[in-house]
Amino acid sequence: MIRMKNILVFCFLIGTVNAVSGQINKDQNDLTYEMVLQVKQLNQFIDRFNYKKDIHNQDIDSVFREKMPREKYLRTLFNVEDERFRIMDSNNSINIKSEMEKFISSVNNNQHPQYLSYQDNQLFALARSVISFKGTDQEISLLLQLRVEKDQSSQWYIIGIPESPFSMNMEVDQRKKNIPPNSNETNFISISRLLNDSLVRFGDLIYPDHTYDPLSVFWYCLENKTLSFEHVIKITYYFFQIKDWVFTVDEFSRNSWNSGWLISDIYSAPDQSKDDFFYEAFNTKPVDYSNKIPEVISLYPYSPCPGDQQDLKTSVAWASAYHAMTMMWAVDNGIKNQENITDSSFSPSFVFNLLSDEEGCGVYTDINRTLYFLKHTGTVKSMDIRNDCNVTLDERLYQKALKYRINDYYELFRASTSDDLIISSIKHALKMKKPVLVEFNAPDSFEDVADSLWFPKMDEDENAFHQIEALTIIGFDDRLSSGAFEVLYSRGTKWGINGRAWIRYSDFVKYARKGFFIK
Amino acid sequence: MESSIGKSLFRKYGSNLMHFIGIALFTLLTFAKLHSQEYIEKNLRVIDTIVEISPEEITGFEERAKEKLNELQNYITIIGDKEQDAEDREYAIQSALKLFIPGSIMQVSNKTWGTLKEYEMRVYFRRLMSVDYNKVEIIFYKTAYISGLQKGPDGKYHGTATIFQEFKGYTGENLVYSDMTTKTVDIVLDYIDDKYYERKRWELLLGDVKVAETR
Repeated sequence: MIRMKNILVFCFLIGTVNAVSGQINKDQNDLTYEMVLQVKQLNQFIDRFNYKKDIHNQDIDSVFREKMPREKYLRTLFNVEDERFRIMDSNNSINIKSEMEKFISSVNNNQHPQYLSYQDNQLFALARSVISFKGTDQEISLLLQLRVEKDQSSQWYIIGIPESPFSMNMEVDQRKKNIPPNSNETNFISISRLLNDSLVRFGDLIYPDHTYDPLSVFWYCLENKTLSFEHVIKITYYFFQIKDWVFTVDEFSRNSWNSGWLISDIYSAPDQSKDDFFYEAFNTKPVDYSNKIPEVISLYPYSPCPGDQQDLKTSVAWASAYHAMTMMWAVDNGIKNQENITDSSFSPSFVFNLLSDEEGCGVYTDINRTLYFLKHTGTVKSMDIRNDCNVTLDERLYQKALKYRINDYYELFRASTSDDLIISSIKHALKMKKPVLVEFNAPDSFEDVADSLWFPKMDEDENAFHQIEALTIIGFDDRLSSGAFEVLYSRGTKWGINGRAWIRYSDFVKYARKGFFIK
Repeated sequence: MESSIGKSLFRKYGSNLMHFIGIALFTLLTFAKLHSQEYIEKNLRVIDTIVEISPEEITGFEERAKEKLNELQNYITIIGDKEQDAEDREYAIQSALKLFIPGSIMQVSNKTWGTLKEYEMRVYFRRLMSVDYNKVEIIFYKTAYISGLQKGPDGKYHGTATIFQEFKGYTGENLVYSDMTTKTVDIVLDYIDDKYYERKRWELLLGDVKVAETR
């Protein structure tokens, strides 16, 4: 029955391959079905696991979805040539096949489907490698972690060497060799004798509970040329992202439809015990691995009184200079008193007067352009300039503005970014106590939010062009209506509840066009 | 009415007036343009430019990566073909090397012998040129996969492509060696200073290559 299931999945996939093969140009050979089905890179594994891309690396469409539901697709990502994933073994206390079924159900849960991400610092690689140590080849494993930086750039770091390649005799030689209790009185002369004695063991002189860090020793040996690194021979990826599970992915190079990067093992590991799992697996403490995003974050205590753009199209200046920059200043200075924060707020007026010279304040200004000005020109404090669209900016104001420039900014997402990534990138920014600027395709109902939670009207098509406005996201709550962002808009205190409101994640991703992170 | 005034002016002052009006308009527009430029520069206090790539641009670069990989495959075919002129094969090596970041490595694993060797790209191509077979047949397949580009801390964008290659070595008419390999190729997108055109632009180059034998 199980074999039959695999065969059916396989047949469908082959059908899909053949349907496309006919379109391939004749300059190069058609890919065989094994080549198409092979999970060629970890990237591709993640895209297939997340049910984002089909076997041809195209976005999954309704036809594919109907014939190959996620549950079946996930099965193709296991190393099914490993019998443990195919046969129910009632003799074994840990039945991997039944664990696999539980794992798939958990990942493919209708209410809370789970996905993998490159963005949450929870991807680890164990690279089995060959080194030459004092002229002799030996194998070691390097543990690496993919770390995503604030600007969404990423890189791998070596974080540990689980099995030490450096043999040290930790045993004690019956304390025959030791540093006597009175040796301090003779300037520890005995130490020099003992340390140069080839019969002395590590455990004779070093405190028994001492642990040493093989990674530092490794680096030291590299530097003094007693060790050279040859190459990596095998990589195993460890995924800790799925709730209550850990699984590994290995490369299976073979001429088969079930080849490439596949799940090689799964472990049931409750989230609260994953640190222990990590320590047991790698003999090292996790590095920021449990860096999880909390369910709720709100920067509201750092916000000024909500701004009011009135009938001007100045929301970008309000969202960026007045709300976001002022909040960042309040966070940096630990100030939570709204009155004091408002008194020290940054001026939107300087920004919209700067940017609206040719088009007046009646036209929306692009966020990118505004942030460019805030990076290079800066803005002044609200107290330095009146809040009016016809202010002449003199050299004195320009000089003052130079003091208040943002360091830098990055685009966090676009409308084309996946929903998950939009939500997670905003959460990460907020976790760093950075409000996020968003360009929002605001339908009419958004202008008159009178409650804490905004609901778009049924007829407000998300694909239609509404009013483009800028918002500042200042928090989120995963528990509220299946998750919602807390936003500030510049419509005064009567908008939402005292100028702030909540937008459900599901609505937000439909109407948000761009998001920006300010450093 | 306006037209008749124009005609009467033209009749009265001739074409010189029209010429003068043209010059005045041109001067006015140029001044407005310069003024606007001055305004922008004054306010911007230009320091540098933003170097981010849009998803659309990334898609464009994926196509460019495919082109480069196809070029590489063509060169490999020429390098390995003993029936080609030595000069052409040498030229193919030089051209293939230009596709790569200098210092790129080709890592070759041999499934049968369980060995793994690394060669500088130049050395790898030279070895391919001098393989000990009378005839070599290299079969390429359509580019199998190109991953999305990821931004590195150095500002460069990094991706990976996978291509398949079948190699057959003949002595006389006898097939004496064959393998099927998966080549995984680093792709690096760098924002370079183009001295020739005096501007910055994105350039795509190939990097290290992992060659794994599958049969």
